[in-house]
Amino acid sequence: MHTFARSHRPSRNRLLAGITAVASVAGVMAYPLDEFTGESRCRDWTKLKWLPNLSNAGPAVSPGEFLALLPEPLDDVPPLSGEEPLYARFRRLLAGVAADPELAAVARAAVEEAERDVVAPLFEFRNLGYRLPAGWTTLVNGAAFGTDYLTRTAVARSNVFVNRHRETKYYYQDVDADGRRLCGDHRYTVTFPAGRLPPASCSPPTVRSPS
Amino acid sequence: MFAPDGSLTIVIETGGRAAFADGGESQNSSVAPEGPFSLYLRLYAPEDNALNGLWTPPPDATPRRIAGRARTDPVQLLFPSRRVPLTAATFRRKRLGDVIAARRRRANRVSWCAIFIKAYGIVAAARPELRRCYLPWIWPHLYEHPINVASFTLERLHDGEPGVFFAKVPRPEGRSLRELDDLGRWYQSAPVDAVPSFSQTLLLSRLQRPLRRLAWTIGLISDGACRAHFFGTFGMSVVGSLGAAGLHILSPLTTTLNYGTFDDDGGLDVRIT
Repeated sequence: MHTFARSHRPSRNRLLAGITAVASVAGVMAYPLDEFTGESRCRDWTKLKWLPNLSNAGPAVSPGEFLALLPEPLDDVPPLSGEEPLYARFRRLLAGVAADPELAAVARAAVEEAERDVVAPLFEFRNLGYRLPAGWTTLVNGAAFGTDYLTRTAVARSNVFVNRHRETKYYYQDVDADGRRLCGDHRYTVTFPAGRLPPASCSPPTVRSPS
Repeated sequence: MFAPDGSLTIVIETGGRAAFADGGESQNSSVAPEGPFSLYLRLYAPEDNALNGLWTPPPDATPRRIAGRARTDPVQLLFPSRRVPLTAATFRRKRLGDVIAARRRRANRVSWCAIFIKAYGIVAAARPELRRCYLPWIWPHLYEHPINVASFTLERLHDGEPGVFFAKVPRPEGRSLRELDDLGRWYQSAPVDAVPSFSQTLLLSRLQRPLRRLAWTIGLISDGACRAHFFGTFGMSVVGSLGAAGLHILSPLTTTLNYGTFDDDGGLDVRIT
């Protein structure tokens, strides 16, 4: 069995170097079949407009910049069916904030408060998805969030790029059997009794360190 | 590396890599960082037991257990009677005015069935007596289900004929009302062939009568886990919404909750058999 830990934090540059190396070595990419011409294609991934913040070091967008950056994803990502009024509200809010400095200050304070009181705690696995016995939590709608914005935010913050649960089932744990926070100065064991081994091919428990 | 008893233990500690040198548990080590950290497990291509919540990571909060010696006396008393030897019915009148008000305040109202399943799931999770059932085979004993599986019957059309099917909800206490409600709707509206428990019922109904009875009997008296899987651990009567109420429902499950219709003042008859 392979053992690994997630304690390193990939920087944007390291990530780009890795992607470019893979792309240039392989020269292979996936694209829709109806665009097939018979010619080999390549894409310069370094020209990507946006890269996710893969480190656990903090929010991908600082709360101060949030309102300034919001119009871009609103333009880029079309609304789901039924989300049009929500988009309209966001745009009205942005227009109001742009027009009124007093309102802008209120909105900025609200964004900072939301980051501190809502988004930051969602980094903790215990605040994610559904609770199971013994402190584990799990997802049932990973990568298929629909309008479950809370779970979507929680996953984006704590374990971004999950698969749908038919492909991968995730179980998260923050505490030991007595409910105390897991900490590096203790030794922990996870025992799967005979007959209760995970019903799938399974990675060993993966370790995630906080910021 | 598996232990001789077939169990698998993974060690997570800061000095995990050091353990590689001395063999032993080395292959089962994960390295923990300094300070607080979190763990996660990923199951690739999970089987149904992981998806439907019947399997959860260890330790099991309520380990599967069969009631010991001290409890065999009542079992001896139960033994002479066939099938479900003893049922007791209790009857309560509940005032649920504030629940009604809370339900009205929600934009999307959830069904009463979802509310009762979750409420009873929470109670049954806390009280092991409500998860206990009588198994006559191989020796008579009381079996305590480690988890709750809510079970209710519903009528669906199949080949133009109405048929009674069983719907099951594992661990209702851990699910949100909205999720329970959606699940209920799914059981109502999904194609009959697409619902696994419905297909089982159909498969059984195609068997000849003696074989069918044999299948039911084996399912009910053999392994408790098998029983929970096929029949659920507690029943929920859903005729309440039609204005009807059963007085004493016989069922092979541990307990069945059965509720009637509301009075004008929010009073409601609830029975457990």
